[in-house]
Amino acid sequence: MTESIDGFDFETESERSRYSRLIEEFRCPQCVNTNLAGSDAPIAVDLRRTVYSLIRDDKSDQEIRTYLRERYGDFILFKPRFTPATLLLWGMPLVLVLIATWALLGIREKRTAITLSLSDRQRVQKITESRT
Amino acid sequence: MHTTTKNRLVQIAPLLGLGILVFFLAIGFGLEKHQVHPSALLNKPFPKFASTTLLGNQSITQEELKGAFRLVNVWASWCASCIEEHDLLLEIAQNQNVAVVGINYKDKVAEAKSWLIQRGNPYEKIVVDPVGKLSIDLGVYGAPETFLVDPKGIVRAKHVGVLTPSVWVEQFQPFMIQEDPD
Repeated sequence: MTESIDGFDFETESERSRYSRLIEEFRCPQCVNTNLAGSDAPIAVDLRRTVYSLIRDDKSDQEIRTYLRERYGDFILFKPRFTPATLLLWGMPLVLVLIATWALLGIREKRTAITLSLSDRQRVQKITESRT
Repeated sequence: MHTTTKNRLVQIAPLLGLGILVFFLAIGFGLEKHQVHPSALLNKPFPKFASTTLLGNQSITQEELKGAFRLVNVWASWCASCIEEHDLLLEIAQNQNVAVVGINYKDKVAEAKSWLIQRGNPYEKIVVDPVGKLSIDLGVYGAPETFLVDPKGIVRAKHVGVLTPSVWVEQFQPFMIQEDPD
């Protein structure tokens, strides 16, 4: 028997650590941006008990995530799933990196492209000297 | 020519960025609260349960909800805002073509009964849910919440919070008119 959390007893250390990890992972449906671990709302207490009993029922982490998502929707997951609706969210960093790379290459190209002929260089020199 | 189009692109880029931002903000602000919390249960069968009724202590399952439209209302005697919607539920039960089924959420039997005696009972049947197991299957996160279940036992609409006449007329009734030729 390991140390209990929230009044729940666990058979093994791994069950205990899974419990504390999972309740960090789910959003409390009634609260503003608080996870199940950090809320005293009645529903958060009930859902912690649900997570506990699912762990005791030998459900995997993924089964527990699915169980809660089927009842409370994607809202309960702090980490959004990869779906067509979240494609933009997940894809945007990659798109931004590509745009930034393209822009940087463009700037470098421009810099190397400026080569002046000898006569042009002399003209520039004359102009700048006459200004001073 | 190539450089001028490129320069134009650079010039309008901030404007384009602003346009995209405004577009997404408009979508975000346009979303109604119930769309932000869409019920995971919409257009899915009412969850299976095996419980008893508050009055009469008879066994009841999801099968008893089928056969007609039913308004399933999650309530409790400790729930202050449930009082606000109570008159509307009484009226719906009396005048509309729908039976109201109660789910007594994490309540004490004696207190629930005296609450009903005091305020009137709109419910055809009341399912007791003492620890909130059925309510978790329904995705409930606090009373009151109300569901419209069609004759096949499919959840068609859901409202979180106090049921108002406008919610009833705009979000619930259209489903029943659509399916009912009368």
